[in-house]
Amino acid sequence: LDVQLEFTAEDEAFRAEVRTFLDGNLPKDWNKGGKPWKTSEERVVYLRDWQSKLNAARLAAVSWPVEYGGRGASLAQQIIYSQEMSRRSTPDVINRAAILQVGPALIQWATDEIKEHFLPRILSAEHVWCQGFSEPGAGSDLAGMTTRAVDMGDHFLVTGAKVWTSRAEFADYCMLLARTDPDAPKHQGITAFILDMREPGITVSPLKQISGVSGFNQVFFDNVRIPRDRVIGEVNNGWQVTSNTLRFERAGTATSRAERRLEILTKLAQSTVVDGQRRIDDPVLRERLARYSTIVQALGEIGWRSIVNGLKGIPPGPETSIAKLIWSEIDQSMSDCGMELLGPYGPLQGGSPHAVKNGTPAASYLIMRAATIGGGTSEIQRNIIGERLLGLPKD
Amino acid sequence: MNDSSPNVLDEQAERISIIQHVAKEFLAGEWSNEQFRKLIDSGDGYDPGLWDKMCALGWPGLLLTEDEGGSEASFSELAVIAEECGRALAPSPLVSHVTAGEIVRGAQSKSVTQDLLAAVAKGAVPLTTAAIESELTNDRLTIAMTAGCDGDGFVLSGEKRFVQAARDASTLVVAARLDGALALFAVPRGTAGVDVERLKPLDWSALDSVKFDSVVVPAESLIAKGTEAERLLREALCQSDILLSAELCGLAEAALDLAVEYAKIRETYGKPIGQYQAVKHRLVNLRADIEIGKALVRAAAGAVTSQSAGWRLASAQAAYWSIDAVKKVPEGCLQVFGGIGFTWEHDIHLYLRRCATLASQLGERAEHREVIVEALDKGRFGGASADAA
Repeated sequence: LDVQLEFTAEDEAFRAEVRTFLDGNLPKDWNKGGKPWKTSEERVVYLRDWQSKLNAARLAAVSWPVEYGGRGASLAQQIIYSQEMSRRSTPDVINRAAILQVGPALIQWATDEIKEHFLPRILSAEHVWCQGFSEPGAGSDLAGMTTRAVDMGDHFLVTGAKVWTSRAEFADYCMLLARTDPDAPKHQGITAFILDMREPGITVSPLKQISGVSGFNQVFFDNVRIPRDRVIGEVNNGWQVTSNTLRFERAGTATSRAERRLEILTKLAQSTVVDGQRRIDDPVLRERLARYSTIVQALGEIGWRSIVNGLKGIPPGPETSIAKLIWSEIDQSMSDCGMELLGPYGPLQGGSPHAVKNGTPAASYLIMRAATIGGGTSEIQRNIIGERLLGLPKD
Repeated sequence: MNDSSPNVLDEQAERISIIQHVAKEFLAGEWSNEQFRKLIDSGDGYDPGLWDKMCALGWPGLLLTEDEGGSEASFSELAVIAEECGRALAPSPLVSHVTAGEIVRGAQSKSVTQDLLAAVAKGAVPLTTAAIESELTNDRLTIAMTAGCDGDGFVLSGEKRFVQAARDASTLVVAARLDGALALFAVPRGTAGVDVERLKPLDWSALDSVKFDSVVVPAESLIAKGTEAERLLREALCQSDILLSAELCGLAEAALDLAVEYAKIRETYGKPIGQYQAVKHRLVNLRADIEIGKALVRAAAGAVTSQSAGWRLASAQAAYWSIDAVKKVPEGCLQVFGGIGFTWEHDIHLYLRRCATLASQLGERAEHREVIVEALDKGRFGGASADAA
């Protein structure tokens, strides 16, 4: 590689501080055996507590400005932070989405009163947030949403439905997008709200995923009241409020995930034997593995470059948006391959006699369908790259 | 954001982008697709005048030390020059000369004379490597041609094929078996019994077949033997693979630029074809294939530059992808052009021809596949980048 990184003494001191915090606050047997919770309710309690500990050390949202409880961390320190956290496989930050999206939107658009009330509670996880964006009829075409918020003067009344809403079953607040002007062009008549999830008229119904587990919800609104002072920014300006939120993607994360999946796949190919021969020695599979390895190498190089460019203050280049597209497709393809190479054992689910790795290959085959759908389908991604990067006409 | 940010030791990246810019400007001024078309009739394979100018810029000696008459540039700098040569559709003996030069330079033998080194640095009359033979092989180090002893010297008999620019070369670096071991000989092209025949590849490039009919060479023509010869030849092949992959990326990118511009203006059923997702998504996929290719070339060239342990794997990955995907970019572009792309007058077939020919010079896909999967089997899951990060 033609570039090396050197962190400053200040950066290294920050690293030491993070390590000291983790040494003092992570349970000794963390990540060694089972999780310290038995039910999903206990998990939520545990993760709220974990985030409040992080926050007490001002380590919940290091990228936030100091005045709002963050560190104003440089990109270098953000990299250090995520390196150290992933090195110890720390518990999830339960309000991560709120830290990455709601907080920055409030900082940019909300009144001081709102900021003072909500920002500290996002950091401490006293309030857990969910996000109401996608709708059953508006996925790829998010701006086609039909959930209505009718202006009643001092409040709005919301009617409609949202889908794919994580955490809605226990969230305290929701950052909600709803249509306030049905006659305006579709991107313009949308408003962003802070919705109190305890208001009457909200029904949360778990959405069983393809894997049989319910990680998401559908949320139905029947004349739900939102006070006028809970509008974020201006009425009918919601599209801008949400699309301008800081979406900090950690460039290295996707790559190391792809590398781990390649490792898992290789080990499956080594341990599976067909006619006395390891599956990895099958020339057809070797072609697929060579292709995966090659693409993972390229993604590593692209990810590394985008980190280096970020450190130099250069905005992400075209290869970064392309890398996201490639990554999701290859990650999915590797999980397909993992199940296939096990032959009839591949589709055996967890708990089945003779299931390999307790059914993980089958489970990840199902779960990885989401890779090319969530966060914008591959088709939408290709449209965006074609239009913004290649300059092709919009369709 | 606060003020503390790490120092990015990035002088190399600056140098690379400057040299790439210089190469692009130079080629834009000195070369054109019309001139490429003239090569079709001349049968020269490349333009000696353009090569002279490349030599005047010092490109043949880029990798050499100042003492050797070179400019001590990095391999990564050479790779971006190769990419620009691709973009400009400018064939030359650059890659074959530089990689043959690296063999000569790397050989420990005292018989490598100052004259030979000077020829590497100047390039005026290029060197080339004669390794590939008539039989197809999944390992290009499988060499059958033999060298016998003849008094103090040696006698070479056999045939080499797909030698780049042999007809115009001063010296051929010839791979042959000596007492069963691989040996490398520096053979002046004019030696009695050396017979060069020009091939006619799709891109009309300077590709030759060379017959050695009892060619007698002196003892000092042996420049390396055994494991040293294997290492030198292997490294030269990998370096050639990386540089040709870089050239393929440049070619593919130029072809894609043409196709994208065409898709913006060509209309069917009342709208530009680039508005249809069938065309738009095809172009995006080609763009993605090129980005992957460029990243692999960067990683591989960087590994050669820093002499990191992963260079062999990285070069196999670059070559594998060139064969698997980059070579196909002009095919997809031609499809976007439709009927006009099938005509002689349209330039897209020039890129198609050149990419197909260069990709065939990278060795067999299986050779690279095996290097890559062997590395996986031994537990290497990340690339050179992962090591550094």
